Amino acid sequence: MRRTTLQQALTVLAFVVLALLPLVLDIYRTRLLITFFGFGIALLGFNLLFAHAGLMSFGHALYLALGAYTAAFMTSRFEIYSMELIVLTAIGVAALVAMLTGALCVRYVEVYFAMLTFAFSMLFYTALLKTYHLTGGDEGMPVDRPHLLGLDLTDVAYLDFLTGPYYYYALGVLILATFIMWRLVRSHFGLSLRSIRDNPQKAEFLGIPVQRYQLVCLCHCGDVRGGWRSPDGTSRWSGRCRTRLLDRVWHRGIYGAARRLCQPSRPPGRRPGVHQSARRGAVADPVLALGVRCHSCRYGDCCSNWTDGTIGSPWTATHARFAPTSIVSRS
Amino acid sequence: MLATIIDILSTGAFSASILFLVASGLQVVFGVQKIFNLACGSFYALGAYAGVSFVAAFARWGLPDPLFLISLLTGGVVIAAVGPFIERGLLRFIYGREEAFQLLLTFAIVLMIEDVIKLIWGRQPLTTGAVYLEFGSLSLFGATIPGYNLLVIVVAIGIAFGIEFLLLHTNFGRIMRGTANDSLMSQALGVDIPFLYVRVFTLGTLLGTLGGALQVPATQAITEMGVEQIVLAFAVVVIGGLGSMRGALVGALIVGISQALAISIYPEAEVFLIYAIVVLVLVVRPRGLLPATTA
Repeated sequence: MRRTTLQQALTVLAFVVLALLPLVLDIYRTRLLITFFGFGIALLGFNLLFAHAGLMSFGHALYLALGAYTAAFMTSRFEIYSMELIVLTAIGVAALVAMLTGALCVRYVEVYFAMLTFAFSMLFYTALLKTYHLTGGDEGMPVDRPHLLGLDLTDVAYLDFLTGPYYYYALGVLILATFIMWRLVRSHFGLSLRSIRDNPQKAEFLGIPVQRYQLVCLCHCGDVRGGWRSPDGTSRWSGRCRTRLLDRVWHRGIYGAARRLCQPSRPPGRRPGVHQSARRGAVADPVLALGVRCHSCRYGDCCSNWTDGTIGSPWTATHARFAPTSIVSRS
Repeated sequence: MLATIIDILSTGAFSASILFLVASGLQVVFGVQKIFNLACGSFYALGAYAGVSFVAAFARWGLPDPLFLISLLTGGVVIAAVGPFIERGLLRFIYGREEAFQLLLTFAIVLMIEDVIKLIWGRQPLTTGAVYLEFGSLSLFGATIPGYNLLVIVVAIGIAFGIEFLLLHTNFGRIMRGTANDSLMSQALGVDIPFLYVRVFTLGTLLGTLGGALQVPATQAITEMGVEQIVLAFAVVVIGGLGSMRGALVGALIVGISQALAISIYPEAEVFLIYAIVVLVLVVRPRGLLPATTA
């Protein structure tokens, strides 16, 4: 753990500073910081995709919008105000959509992947815009003030709510997301992702579904942000999910942060080689022992050398078991 | 019934002409420079705005209204001058980089141009006024086809033949095709690659701006038109096949006509239908309907 100490210390320090900032800053700047937390969470997801898997998603805003609209629907249509419930639902919705779109997108690489994700987000954007009776089109939807941790804060003044409880809530979500991502990129899963990025040919066989799952993870983060970006304006004017705005703002946000936001330092200690993790994975996933590999591998023995490397994660194994053909790229 | 069919076909052919121009700009650049130029949509928007300005300016200087096509084409050609600057100033640094960075850079150009448009022309939608009606309309079996649309279709077909001639029968075209095939070899044979790239990119820009300029009298120039056009152009090149000019033609026709079809039957499905086709093509024929044989 020694090698990451400095980075960890700096991260913790940064969070402490962020927690103290409302004491120093005026209301306007504190509010800006909430937006920053939102982008932070979303970029954690984007970073996982771009820096660790080498996939360039132009349609990331889709998941933001999904999260935001989930929040809008739940508060103003179904009158569910629990923020935790909203976030969880948003994650579910985005994961579902990501699985559907991702299943198609990951079959293609580079330009096709980027443009397909872009196309899906434009598709969703048009859908939002045209179903005026449901989403309010470009007028947006109002988001009512959610309950944080079960507390009804309706009586608190709008700005007090934003700069007080909501600020810390958002910061908490950001810290949680950072921690999850931190663990994720150090897991076998993260290792698999990087092996895919560095040598796609080798990893292609089982790499593809990994990317899909990773797409899902990404949107978890993306939409957590979306989920709470919207309630940051509980007053009707800024609390509307504006489709266009989300897209815009998001695209702009991408560039600055892309590569290094949560770039892992080297894993602690000895970096486990692919084969090491492979063996562990093979033992850990009994499914593999059942001959899934032969079942799903179209290339016969030739891949058995390195499938182990990427099959390490239980995700993949599950996938290989239940959807063997969809794993192999057809393009 | 017949009237509806003619309506759909003529509207579809009109938007297909515009789409073909923009998509062929994309194809030329992709074929030779191997860069998927997202900024083609911005060139389209620039062309539209330039078209509006030039029509207004030429009308003030006393150009008779029926000749406004001249001002549109002039606008398209003049604004294409941004092409070489963008190529020399930005694109040349990323030829060797990963595709993801090329996409990022061209998309950054899209955003910058969008802001430049806001800076110069403002946020208000602009129109060319009533010149669209200048050519009257043609009635055919109860369907009405605006004369301007027919004219644009004719001009686009003319440009398509022009590109065909350029690619197949001129020295520049041969060099382009050769470089698309094997840039290292053509460099070895003495082709000035950077200069060729500048010319090709300018050609791509020109096709985009002309498309925008020709489109604008029929609708209006709005700041978002660029981004929307990128997505359509992508659909066109995916359906037709990346890097192939004939593919751009076929793709543009398919996208244009299915768009018109959706609008007349169930407008909400307009974009959806196009993407259903894109997905279908990607699943069944990932290389497109008419893939490029060489590049």
